[in-house]
Amino acid sequence: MIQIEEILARVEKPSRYTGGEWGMVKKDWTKAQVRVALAFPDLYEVGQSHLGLRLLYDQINQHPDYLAERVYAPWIDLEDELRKAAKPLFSLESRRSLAEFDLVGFTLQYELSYTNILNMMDLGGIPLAARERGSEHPLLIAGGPGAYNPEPIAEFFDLFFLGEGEEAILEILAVLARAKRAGLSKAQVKKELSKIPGVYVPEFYEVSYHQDGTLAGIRAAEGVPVRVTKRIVADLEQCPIPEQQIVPFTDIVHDRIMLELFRGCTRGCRFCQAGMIYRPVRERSVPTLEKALDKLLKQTGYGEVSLTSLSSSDYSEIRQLVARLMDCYSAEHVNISLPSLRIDAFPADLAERFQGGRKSSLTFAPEAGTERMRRVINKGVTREDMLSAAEAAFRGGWQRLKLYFMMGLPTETDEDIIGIAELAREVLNLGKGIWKQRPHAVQVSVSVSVFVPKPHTPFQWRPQLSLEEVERRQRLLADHLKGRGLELHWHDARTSWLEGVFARGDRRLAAVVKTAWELGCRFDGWAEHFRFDLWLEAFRRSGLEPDFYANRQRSYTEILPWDHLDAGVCKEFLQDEDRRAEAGLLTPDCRQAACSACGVCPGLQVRPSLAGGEGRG
Amino acid sequence: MVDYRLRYSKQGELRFISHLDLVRGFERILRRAGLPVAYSEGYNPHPKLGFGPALPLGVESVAEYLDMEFTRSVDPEEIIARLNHVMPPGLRALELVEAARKLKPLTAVINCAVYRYEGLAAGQDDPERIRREVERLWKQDTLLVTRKAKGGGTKNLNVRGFLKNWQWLEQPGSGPVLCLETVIGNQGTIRPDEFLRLFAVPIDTPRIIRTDLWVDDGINRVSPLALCR
Ligand code: SF4
Repeated sequence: MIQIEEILARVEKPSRYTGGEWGMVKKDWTKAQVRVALAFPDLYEVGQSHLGLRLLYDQINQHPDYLAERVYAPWIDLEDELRKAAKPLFSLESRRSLAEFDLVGFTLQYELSYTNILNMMDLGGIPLAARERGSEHPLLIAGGPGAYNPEPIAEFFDLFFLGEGEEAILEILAVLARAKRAGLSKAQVKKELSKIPGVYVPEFYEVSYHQDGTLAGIRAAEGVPVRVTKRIVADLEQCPIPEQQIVPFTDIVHDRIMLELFRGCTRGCRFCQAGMIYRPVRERSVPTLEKALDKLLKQTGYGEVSLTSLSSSDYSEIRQLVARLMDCYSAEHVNISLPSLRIDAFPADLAERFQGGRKSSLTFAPEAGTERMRRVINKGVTREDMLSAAEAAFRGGWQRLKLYFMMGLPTETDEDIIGIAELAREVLNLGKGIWKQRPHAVQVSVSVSVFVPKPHTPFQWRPQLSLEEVERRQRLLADHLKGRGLELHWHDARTSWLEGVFARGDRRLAAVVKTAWELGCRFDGWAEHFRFDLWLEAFRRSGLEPDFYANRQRSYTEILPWDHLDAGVCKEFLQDEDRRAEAGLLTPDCRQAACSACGVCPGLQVRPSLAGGEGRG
Repeated sequence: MVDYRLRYSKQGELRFISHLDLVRGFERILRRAGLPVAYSEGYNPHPKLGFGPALPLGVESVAEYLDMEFTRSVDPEEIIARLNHVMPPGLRALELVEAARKLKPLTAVINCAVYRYEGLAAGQDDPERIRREVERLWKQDTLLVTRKAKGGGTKNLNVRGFLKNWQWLEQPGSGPVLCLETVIGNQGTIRPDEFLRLFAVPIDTPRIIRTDLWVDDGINRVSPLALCR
């Protein structure tokens, strides 16, 4: 056990690092056959909010022979203290160094956490490059959405896992337990693990490049699958919802019970990676959810529940569920919420029930300013839909609406940018008309992020907007969006650009990540720590051209760095969707209309399943 | 409605949990315990709990108090048992009294806090020097500490008036212990760590424990629990 008491007394928010929360599982270190560190490359407040980690923590610790402990990124102050005292980064439960575990699993939630991953490995006493690690070091694995193109950090990991890990993690640990008893070498263990569907061992795949920097080929070693296919839990009804959850002392980002209604989303928004990689839709039934929630409320004492999913209001029995939960728990002062209350998908009367009478603000996500642009991204919401939803909200008592947009979507013109301002103004005027007595209380806030093309989406071949062009369009929008009651918020275009470079990057970028970390980059997703200058320096030193990754149009025939990784959605479907985008054609949701042949269901031998029982065949 | 006053301890690593976090934590503890806490009315109902003076971060305590309002009466023994069943390690319910009358808030009545410093002189060859330093401090009329001012910046404050008493206890085997009695409450206070910063001689980082909170009328001092009877 690593002694850190003295240090804790000096750092900000020490309860980030103490552990000891209600619901924490601390097992006997010496009795566990395989010890897993679940690492999240950001602060406790962020990582502890992550649902996937909660599921794995529960799944592993339920097993008598395995143990899982949590490790989060130390804030700058703790890092300094640890380095000064030459102490390693430690797990919250047993306060063991990262290096003492058999398996260290990182969650790849966003690209801007890559330097934190290296920093945590380094602080944990683990050599960064997989090839520098021997059998005395833990195996490093990573999962999460980032694992669908992990190439920029491939050289730091032994394994990646594609898809939903609840079932596979036990298979992986069983192999590790056996390997430990048999004294297998690291190479043998990796070979064994590569046989588990969903497990990707990057060193078994050799990548070659053309002169122009594009990929010439990805060659799988003998005996490993040419393509690694994602794993999913086919029947979510049979997949237990944890009956325990940790209740943190300190206020975390999602400080509540997260009840997962369903997985997958087939609305088919063409920019959305989650909508592609988590297919198909699999819903849990109302009784299952009710039963699980009842147990969780009793165990945690939480008075807040969030109904979590990619788009919770799409849950086929949302009205029944909400009604049931409100009936059961409103007398017990349990607050039930949807993660983001999106009125475009949600009638105002229901929204009102959620807010418990409080009418702070409502969020819409039109994503694009014109109807043409929305057809391109397959978000078939019309101007009339928007306005009538906004009207319902204003009449329902809300005065402040938030509108989310993206800038830089494929085929976007200045007209589409101005369209954002026009839509916002229309909504504002509508509100003022309804709130005649207090028109100045009506507020419309517009939030615009820069579109980042992601792998495994129809737009994976498209260029991202250059930084100069983003600036020009931002100025254009700002010029048109002026006036009382209108507010405009940006996301930092430079972080989106960096995200774009790594989202579709190849293995050569590992050098850039490493150099940036050495130069001092940490917590790149945190505005106060983002050092764009250092990143540019890292690119300069590597000799790699970042625009090659972010801002280049790729051809359909180009070999993409993630072509050997299979998210279930086939390339033909993605290309077809890209062409339909160009033509402004909508593709309907397979929950309501015919199957659009994305390939997931036949490929994984699953089918969509809805709570009411009618799934599509 | 029934009012209860609880004494509890907050020890070990729970000293790193802030007062605000503890307040939120107690709401959840009471829910887990399944105790019939009364809630306020309105859009945003919250449990009717009344905490004593905040315990500074890094300080342990065996004398924290909490007032709770229940919708019906529950046997005190049972309340303590149920609380201890669902409290995280480091928190312990110790004593509980049902209020026989309407209680004034804890923060309005508690005016004296006692802290115990252990291990101040753990690595010192001359522990007596620390005792002499306390004596020296006691003789001053003005002892200034710097605090953050409300509107930003800092201000100096004379805290001499908040120091009431001290005791130096020689503990066989574990080195001397300093007990410090301070004013707390509406009139102001000196935090136990602020007191250490006044020292002009080197000390070791001690373990600090709040051992008592008193209601002192100048003649008698009683425990906040005694006011319930
Ligand atoms: S294969 Fe068809 S039914 Fe299955 S998710 Fe794709 S579009 Fe929907």
